[in-house]
Amino acid sequence: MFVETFKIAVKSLIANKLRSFLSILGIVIGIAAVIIVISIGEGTSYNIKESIRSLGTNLILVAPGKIGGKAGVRYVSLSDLFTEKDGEKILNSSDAIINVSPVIQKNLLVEYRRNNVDSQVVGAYANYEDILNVKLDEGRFLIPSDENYKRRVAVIGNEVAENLFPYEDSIGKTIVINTAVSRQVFKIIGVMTPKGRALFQNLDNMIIVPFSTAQTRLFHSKYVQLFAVQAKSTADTKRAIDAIDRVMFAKYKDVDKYKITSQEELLSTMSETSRTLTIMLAGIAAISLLVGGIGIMNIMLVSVAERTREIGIRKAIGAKRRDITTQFLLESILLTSLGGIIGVLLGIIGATTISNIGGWKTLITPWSVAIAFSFSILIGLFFGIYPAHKAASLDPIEALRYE
Amino acid sequence: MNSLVEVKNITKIYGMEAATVKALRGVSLNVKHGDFIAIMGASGSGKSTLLNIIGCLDRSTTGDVLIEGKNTNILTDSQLAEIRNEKMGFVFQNFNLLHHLNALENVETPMIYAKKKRNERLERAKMLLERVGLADRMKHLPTQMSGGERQRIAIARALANSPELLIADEPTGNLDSKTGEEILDFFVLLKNEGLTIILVTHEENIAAYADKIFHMKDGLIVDEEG
Ligand SMILES: Nc1ncnc2c1ncn2[C@@H]1O[C@H](COP(=O)(O)OP(=O)(O)OP(=O)(O)O)[C@@H](O)[C@H]1O
Ligand SMILES: [Mg+2]
Repeated sequence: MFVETFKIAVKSLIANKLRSFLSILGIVIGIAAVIIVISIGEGTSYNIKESIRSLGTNLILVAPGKIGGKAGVRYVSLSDLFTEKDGEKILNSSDAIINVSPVIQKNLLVEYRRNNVDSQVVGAYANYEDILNVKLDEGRFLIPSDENYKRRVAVIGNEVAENLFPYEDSIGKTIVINTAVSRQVFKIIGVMTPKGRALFQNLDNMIIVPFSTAQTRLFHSKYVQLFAVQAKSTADTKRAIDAIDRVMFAKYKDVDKYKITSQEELLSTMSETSRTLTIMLAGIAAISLLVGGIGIMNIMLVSVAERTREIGIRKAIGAKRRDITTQFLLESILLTSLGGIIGVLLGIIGATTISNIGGWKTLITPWSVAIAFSFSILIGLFFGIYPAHKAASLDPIEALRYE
Repeated sequence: MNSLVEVKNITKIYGMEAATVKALRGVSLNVKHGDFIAIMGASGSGKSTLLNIIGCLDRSTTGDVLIEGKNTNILTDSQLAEIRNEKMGFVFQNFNLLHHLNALENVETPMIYAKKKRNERLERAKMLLERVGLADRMKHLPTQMSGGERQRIAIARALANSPELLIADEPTGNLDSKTGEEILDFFVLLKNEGLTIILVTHEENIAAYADKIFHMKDGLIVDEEG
């Protein structure tokens, strides 16, 4: 019986090809829009995740908390500053922590002959290579002896290399780093592989030098700006954070004086934000689906009115209310799911085109396709109920009289 | 022998309050198995109204209609649909075929609602179309056929579920006299096989095929001959 009713529904849709097609346009466009929006959202969140990951593996940052002082006066008590000793304590606090490097950084003007570039100069230990997951295009990274002997060596980002050495090899060349009071000469020992932007920092525009050298030559400071900590594994991150917190709290007795941020945390807030945004945009796109659904209802009502006589005939030869309801419901579901299929295909084509031409990363996930398609079926069901009910309620005699 | 249809003093009032029409004012009628009855009368005398109520397409305002002894007043719409499907076959003046279905599919439709199997449906539909002389037109749409051919599809469809009663409301009204007579010859054939037929017509020569003729006037049966 269901199969027969299905065939009846298909036949009447085929009998009205053009109208069937026009009536599903709204659904097609709505579904395509949802697919495209979600694919852009997913692509973006994938990009964010990748760039956060590229920052390092299982990275935890320990930074100073609120800056003290009153009304426009910046004031940090010397005793509140981090020292290398704190780093050692952190490293020894838990087996969940495998690497700790103090970091001191500043934007400084760097020059080579007639070229110069404003770069982020970073002082860190040799283990920063592991912590930041640094890959090298050429040369080598810092080694512990660079630190011990306060060597004036530098590993530069790809962009720095391109700016300072557009036509020549940079390894072994000496660059000048300008501080407020002096000009310091550094020898280049390595060039990093491009990583791109991550978290509002351009990793390719960085220059990494030994921490000890940075302290004495560039920053003239005995203190540490922040600690970069590497947890043993993602699962150990939580344990590592707890250990760091104990060390820091023991020193400051005040949770506001330091801030611990983990990459995992960052990752989840970022992807949560982008997911919320995606869902919001998809919701807006879904409104067009609603409009499409109203279009379907309209067409189905017209169809019921036009086919009043057919309904009368069917009832006269024995169709029950349920038969008529099923027929018209199936028709509207068939319409919208057809619209859903075309919309999904169009959405996939659209998303691919956008990523090819617009250069945006798009990611089509099975769940977005599944949701969009089931939504189209639901719309057919929901907006088909009233017209189907109307058709089934027709009085057979009235319907047969209808001209 | 039991009556197939017993109509007991039925009335039918259309409309409400000021704008009412009394289409039937107390009609009684007994139709036995195998009867071939014609109903005649002026336009508006209530013939179609009576036929629709007998055919379970409509309900009377007062009075009872018994089909094989069962009072239709107490049946639900869905049960009435079943009676129409199993026990009644309708032939209308304007054919009332489903125009986007071909002859075969039109004849199949009542059997679909009777939940018959596809093979059985096809076989019977083909047999019926052969019987009405449309063996070579089965895949044609009604719109590609003449009035006489369309009415023959309608008759084949009416016979699909082997009904007890054939109800024909001016079946020859849209046909020329020769085609009309062919249709009535076929009705006689069916009657001889035991089918009960109620026919409404304006034409004396068509009514003459029936065994009994009832005359209606202003919602009442006023005369009975034969
Ligand atoms: N749905 C309706 N609403 C209101 N009045 C109706 C309705 N159907 C029929 N009538 C009225 O009931 C009366 C009987 O109508 P009916 O169709 O039974 O006549 P008839 O004898 O079949 O006429 P005809 O020979 O023209 O077909 C007429 O006065 C008609 O106007
Ligand atoms: Mg009439």
